Parts: sequence; structure tokens; C-alpha cells
Amino acid sequence: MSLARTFKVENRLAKIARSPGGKSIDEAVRGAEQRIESVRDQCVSALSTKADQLSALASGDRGAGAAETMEGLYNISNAIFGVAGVYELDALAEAACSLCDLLHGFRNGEPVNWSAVDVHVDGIRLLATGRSEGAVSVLAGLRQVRARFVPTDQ
Amino acid sequence: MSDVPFRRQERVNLSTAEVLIVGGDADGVEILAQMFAGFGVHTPRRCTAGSEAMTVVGERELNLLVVDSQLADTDGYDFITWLRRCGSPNAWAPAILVTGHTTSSQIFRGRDAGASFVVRKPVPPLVMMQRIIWLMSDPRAFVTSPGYCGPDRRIRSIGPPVGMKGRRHDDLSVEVGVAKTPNLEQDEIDALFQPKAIAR
Repeated sequence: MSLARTFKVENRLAKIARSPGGKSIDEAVRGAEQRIESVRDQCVSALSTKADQLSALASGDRGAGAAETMEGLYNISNAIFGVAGVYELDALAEAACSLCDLLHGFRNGEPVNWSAVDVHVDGIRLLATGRSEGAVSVLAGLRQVRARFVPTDQ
Repeated sequence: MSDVPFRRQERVNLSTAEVLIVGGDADGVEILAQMFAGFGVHTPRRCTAGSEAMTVVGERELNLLVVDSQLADTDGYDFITWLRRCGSPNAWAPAILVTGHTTSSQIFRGRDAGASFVVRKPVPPLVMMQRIIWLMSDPRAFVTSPGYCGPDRRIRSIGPPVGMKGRRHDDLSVEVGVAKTPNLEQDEIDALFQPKAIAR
């Protein structure tokens, strides 16, 4: 006999959201966009701090504690990817995502190539400063490195 | 997911909604909190650690949880798995899992943890609003079983595979059999909607 139980629950979100008042969807979306824009400076300036943390962590334990180092690097580059994407810092978001791809593979048993990690960390630090010159060549280099380790379908 | 059509002039009142935002990166949480404040949520609650969020779940009735896959002390998948089995009425609250770097295995993991939705960053406000509108009319039942707790993972109900008997008592095949009685004529159908007094 199956131990699964299926039942309906009250949709409290719908009950509240459909109560009189509120905003039109257009107004709500516009309001959200404006509020997100209002914290741009604070969030973007924190990106270079995150890039520095990434760099400090990358120069840490690569021996017995390598798994922990890689997990920390993955978490920080993932956070950079999340914020950079919101503020359309596309080059930085792509570099951070590329590092996540690499680390994801290395954490899943592929032999770790620290040079590939290092070149990504350096690229991310450069892009996080906000300087746009050289961004194209940095990204081109990172794409080549990524292509050596990550299958093209990812 | 089937798209829920909505008009941009449709109104949504989230001013009294209790929304909990959980994420390991303070800036990521700030961005989501600003988004929900812009939607009209009076005070979106924020936590960076899963343990802190567990306390909030035990203390107040929540209408929506937005959980990042990466938390300060655990991950969003484990938090949602815990949420669905915590025994609080909040166990059935809709939970949107937000992921950064996303592989297909992470999407399946989020679904199997009991997330109502998995949304990839960056999340534009319109996409988040679409998910909220969909959740407002979410027809899915909840399932509890030894291996899974959460919304029914079958978004579309298309019945069991052809030629197979369903595992659930209410499963119906998509194949329609041959009628066993003749079709009713229209006047017979109309008569069913217009009952007449019968002399005894």
C-alpha cells in the first residue's frame, strides 16, 4: 500500500493578493525596478570587495583543504554572478559564471587545474574594478580556458 | 509550467503579505528585498542563515518564501526539504528557489526538495511577478510521502502513459473508450436542466 497522501491546502497568498487595493502589475514591476536601481551603487561597489575575497581565498589551502577552498570560491563567484547579472555587468557575470562552471567540474571529480582557477580570479578582479578597457580580451581568454575543461553542452 | 495569462493592469495587493527572503549573500538578499518592497510588500523579512530562517518559520505565518540556493550555514535545498517536513502551517507555503550558477541536476534537486518553482538569476521583476501570479492560481495538491514532501511535481495532468494502469486511484487514461450508451439528444439534455413536476 502506498504511504503517499495527497491533499489540497488553502492558497493564503492568493487570498491576500486578491484583496482590494494594491498596485497594477505594471506599477508593481516598475516600482521593483526603481527600488533595485536605488541600491545599485552599494551592490556594485561590494563586487570589488567580493573579488578581493575571492583572490584571498584562492591563495589559501590547495592541499588537504582544497575541497573547502573550492567550495568557498564557488560560493563567492556565484554571489558575484548573481549581483553582476542584475546590474547588467555582463562581462563580469560571464567571468564569474565561467569560474562556477570550472569549479563545478573540479568539485565533481575532475582533476583540479589551479592555473585555470587563477586566471579566472585575476580576470574577475580586473572586471570588478569597473574598467571596461581590456574586458573583451579578458573574456576571450577565459572562454578559451573554460573550453578546455567544460564540455560545450554546459 | 503553463503560462498564466495576465493583464498588466490586473491588480495585486501584496501590502499585507508576509514574505521571507533567505539568501547567503547580503547583497543578493538586499536586491530581492527591494524587489518585493517595490511590489508593495510592506516589510519583506530577510535572513542570511538557514537557522535564522527556521526560527522565523516557527514564529509567524508566511505567505511566500524566496530562498537562494546558497545560504550562510546550509543550502537552500536542505532548507526547503526541512520546511516541507517542519510540521508548521508554513510547510505548505509557496517557496521559490532562486539559483545562480545552475545545472540541470540543481533544478531536479530543487524540485525534489519541494520547491514550488526554481528561478535562475538574474531574476527580472517581471519574471518574479509572473511566478507569483502563477502561484496565486496554483492548482497543484500537496503530496507527503516517505521520499517527498511538497507540491505535486506533475505540473500537467495528462494521465498515465498509454497502455499503462495509473498508480493512483484517480488516474484516468488519456485514451477515451467507446461509449457504452447512446448519445442523448439535445432535447433530452435540455429536459435534465428543466425538471418538471410529476403527478403521483
